[in-house]
Amino acid sequence: MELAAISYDSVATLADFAMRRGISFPLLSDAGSNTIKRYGILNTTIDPKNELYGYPFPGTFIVDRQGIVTSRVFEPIYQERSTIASILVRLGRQIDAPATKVAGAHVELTSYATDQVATLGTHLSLVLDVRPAPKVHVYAPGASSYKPVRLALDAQPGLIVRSAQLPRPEDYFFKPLNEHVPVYQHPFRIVQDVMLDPSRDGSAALKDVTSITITGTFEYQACDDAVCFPPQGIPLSWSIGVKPLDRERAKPR
Amino acid sequence: MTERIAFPGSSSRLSRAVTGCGLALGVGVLCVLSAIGIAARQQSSAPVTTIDVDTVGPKVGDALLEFSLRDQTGQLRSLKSLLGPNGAVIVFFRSADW
Repeated sequence: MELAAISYDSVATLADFAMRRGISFPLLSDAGSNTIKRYGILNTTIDPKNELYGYPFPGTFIVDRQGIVTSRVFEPIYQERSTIASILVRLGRQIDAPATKVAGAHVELTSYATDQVATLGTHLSLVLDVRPAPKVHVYAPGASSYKPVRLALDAQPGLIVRSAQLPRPEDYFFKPLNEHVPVYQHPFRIVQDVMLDPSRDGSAALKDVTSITITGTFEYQACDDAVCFPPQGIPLSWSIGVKPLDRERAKPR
Repeated sequence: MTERIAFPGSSSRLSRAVTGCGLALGVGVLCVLSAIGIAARQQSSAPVTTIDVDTVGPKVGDALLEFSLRDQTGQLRSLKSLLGPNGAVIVFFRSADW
């Protein structure tokens, strides 16, 4: 998939930035903000007399080969930004990332983080692909009397646990008890969003930190059509490199 | 011969709410209530215009307007020239300089 990033910086500023950061994909200069204005995404809350006037509401468009928008993400808080890999995973697309496989009782897990490096305010995702064993189902959120699946992350300073995305469950009818229960009985994916906390407390917690290890437990209860097994927990971890915010500026010309 | 072991006292679905609050560039207080997916921003001083960023710009299903912009090497690039067989990701960002 092609990638391009547009800002109102000059070509010289973009050239300097691309060199410093080793960027090879196109950085496009919309000096004067004409494209930003035509797109209707100029940040109109900025006073035109402000020297920074002309920048957009930051956002990402994903378009098809005809240039039609298939999805878009605009962050309400500018200090926070979803990574492209996280956006793509949440849209159900495949990405390349080093994954770990774990075999548990009645399930197989494959897990990875969308990004190996993040900075303050980065929204990234932890992905957990769960494959129930043949003829086994696990319980979805909303199932009462059974332990539903849950990715429980351990709290730690500098880490914000955001929302989790789970697929729509199937309805399972268990005739002996005449009960309907929401379950997963085919491979399914949990996408758990997390963020490196950009607040003052988060910045303090992550100061001089070069990597964090996010730990948690996949909780579930598996049953087949005759027996329910006791609830289980599988420990998981992900290592994320932490890089400081880029505070460099282009060289004065 | 069917045995079902229900999980006793199961399933508090309410995950731990993680709250982060702090100064955002000295202009206000930034609080993120993540477990319920709500992000609220409070300004402590002068009122500011708030804009729902989900309402700005091209929507899903719209065609992005064509553009012709120079890249970091000075070469002109159009939207059309950027579109590959799987389309493209077009990112608008604030600045590469501040």
